[in-house]
Amino acid sequence: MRGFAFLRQRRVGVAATIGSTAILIAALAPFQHKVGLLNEGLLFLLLTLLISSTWGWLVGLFAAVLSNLALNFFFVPPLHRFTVHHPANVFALLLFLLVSVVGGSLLSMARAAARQARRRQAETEVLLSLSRTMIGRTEPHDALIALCQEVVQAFAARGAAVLSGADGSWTLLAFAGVDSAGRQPDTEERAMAGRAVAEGMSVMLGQTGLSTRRRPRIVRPRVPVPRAEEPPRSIAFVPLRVGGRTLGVLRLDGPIGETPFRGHPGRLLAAFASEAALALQRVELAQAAAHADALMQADKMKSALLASISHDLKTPLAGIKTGVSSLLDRSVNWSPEDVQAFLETIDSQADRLNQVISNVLDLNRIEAGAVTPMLKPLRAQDLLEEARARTASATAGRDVRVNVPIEAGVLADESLILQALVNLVENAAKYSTPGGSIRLNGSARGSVVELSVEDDGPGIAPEDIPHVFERFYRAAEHGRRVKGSGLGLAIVKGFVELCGGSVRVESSAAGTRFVVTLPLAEQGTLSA
Amino acid sequence: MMGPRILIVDDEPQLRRALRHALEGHGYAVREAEDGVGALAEFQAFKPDVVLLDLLLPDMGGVDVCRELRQNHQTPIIVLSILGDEQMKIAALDQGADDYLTKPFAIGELLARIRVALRRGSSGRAQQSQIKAGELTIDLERRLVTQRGRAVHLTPTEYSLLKYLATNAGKPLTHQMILRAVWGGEYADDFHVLRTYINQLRSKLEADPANPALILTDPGVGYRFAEPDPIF
Repeated sequence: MRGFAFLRQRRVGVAATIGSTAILIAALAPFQHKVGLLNEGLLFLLLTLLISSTWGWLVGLFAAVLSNLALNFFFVPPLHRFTVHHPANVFALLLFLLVSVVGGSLLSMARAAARQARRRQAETEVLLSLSRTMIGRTEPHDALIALCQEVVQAFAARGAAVLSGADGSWTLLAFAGVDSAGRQPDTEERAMAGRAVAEGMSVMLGQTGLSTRRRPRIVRPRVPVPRAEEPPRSIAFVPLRVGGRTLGVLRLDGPIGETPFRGHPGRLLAAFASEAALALQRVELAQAAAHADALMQADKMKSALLASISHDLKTPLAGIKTGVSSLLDRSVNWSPEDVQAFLETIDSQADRLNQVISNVLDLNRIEAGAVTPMLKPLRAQDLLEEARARTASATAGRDVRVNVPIEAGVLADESLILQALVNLVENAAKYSTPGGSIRLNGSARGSVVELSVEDDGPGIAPEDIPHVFERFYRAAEHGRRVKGSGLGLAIVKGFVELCGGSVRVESSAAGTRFVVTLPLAEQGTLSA
Repeated sequence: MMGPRILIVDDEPQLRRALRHALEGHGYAVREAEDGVGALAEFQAFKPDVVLLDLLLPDMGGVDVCRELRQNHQTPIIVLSILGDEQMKIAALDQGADDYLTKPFAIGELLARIRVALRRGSSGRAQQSQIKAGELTIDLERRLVTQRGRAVHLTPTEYSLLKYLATNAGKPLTHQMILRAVWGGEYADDFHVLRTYINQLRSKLEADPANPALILTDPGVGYRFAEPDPIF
């Protein structure tokens, strides 16, 4: 169909009219006066009607006039002159003209009506297929892609895309067709999309073949030098409106192909636009729902954090408050030992409070990506000794030993890795039996160093092991709860990973062992 | 000579230490336990007059300790809880704890609660024939309620509710405890019934029902009848 399309063009019709008229004259010439003027007239009328029905009433009118002149010149006496002797022949020629024009018009109207009926039917089929496709897509984004595919198919266009962001922030949501249909809109396209939204109607660039008007609204490209291998740009922007609100535009890359809708895209384009607008609204609603969901998750997380740290914050406060309110109580003459006990409680609990707050802030910093580790060579022995010193009060009454048989150095951030080790030792103290032992070991294995914190407590239940590094996770046995925010091990993992290391846990009924693996520092880099 | 005996059950050594010094300073004899098993053992050995019980213990829940103690003893139990432990706190009260205190607390507040608990432990107000609270008098023998000398007419249910609240004056009563005691176990979840009757009682007894002075709301827990006469 597409190969013969040019035959429909009007100038082809005019040429065909001239040619066929000449052939008819030549064919009738040998039989002059034998065929009879009436028959000759009828033959020319037939030719005119055929031309009318093929090329429309305008070419048909041209054929009627030409046939009339040919009849007059070649067949009506006096021959080879445009004058007419017999008055009846003048009337016959006028009648011929009238009949051929009216008949041609009626024929071309009937043909146009038939074409329109065919187009309507095709439109209906396309819309039916579109609505079937759209109903089938539950995911709004898929629906938009499917819609673009339908548009490309229906108009045989090069490509179609849906852009959202009627506030000017145009972004591509979905597309179909050639690869270039998936481009993000450039400045010029943004401007045109904006115009389509502002004017509430389609805006076209170049000859898209979409316009319903005789003279399409054509915007001259500001950069009118299309590269040789690319066809000239022709783009249409159709605003997508729902409920009086414009949600985006449909960008159609033309020129569109030879389909029943070429030149008459109005109804179909409007239907596509409203479907696309609805799909776009669904995308918006889905985004709003996702946003609300994310907020809810964040809110849940916040509640979990609050519930979790409230114990950690209030417990040391309870000690502080008891100590301070006792000291303020003048009804008792406190002994120096009492005063000392109160002050020590206040002091240690203030430290503990500070630790809890630091933990929360640390975790926040890890999550915000605000921690920049400064890696440097550190002696394993020094790190473990320091961790033991810092946890002296938390591990009071327990046998804590450091054992690093070899001179090993790790590459890590000193403050981060120390905090991680401190958290591990405190964790060991919290979960193991009072009076038990805690072992801090260091050993080199190939290119890594392992620092481990080992207790002889009851161990971690197998079902809890995969979760111990999760925030707020606290191994909870029936009828028993260990106090703590559940943040400590999450911080260990965060800090160790920031140092380029990893942490794992091994646990049995005989005890639990946390192992921090860090890169080995090169020999000789450790300062004395 | 040492005063009343108090058992502190809490797994926080620093808090126990401060509490022990503070309470001994006020003349109490104090012993400590850091977990549930230790608490039950100390209880048998020490025979305390009041138990201060933390709800989060390393080996067993404070609620379970409450239940264990209540099986054979009426010793007052004051629960030490932290905001956010409402469910456990209510469970402990339902299991027979007498009062609760939210951490952190001032020592004066704890001492006041201990005095109330000690008094309740020693007197047994249930045997009283008459309860006075402000200008309200409840004659338990004649089932007569008078307010500023004038008789107040109460329905039988209202009277039972008032009697239950007043005989437990000063003690926090959970919704379920009240419903079970006044209406019976099958009504234990009918919170709105209780709320309706509390409102009726307040409108009949309170000078300003919107700001009750007799039947106090214990937020998140239940109700508490005002202490009938000065404690201090």
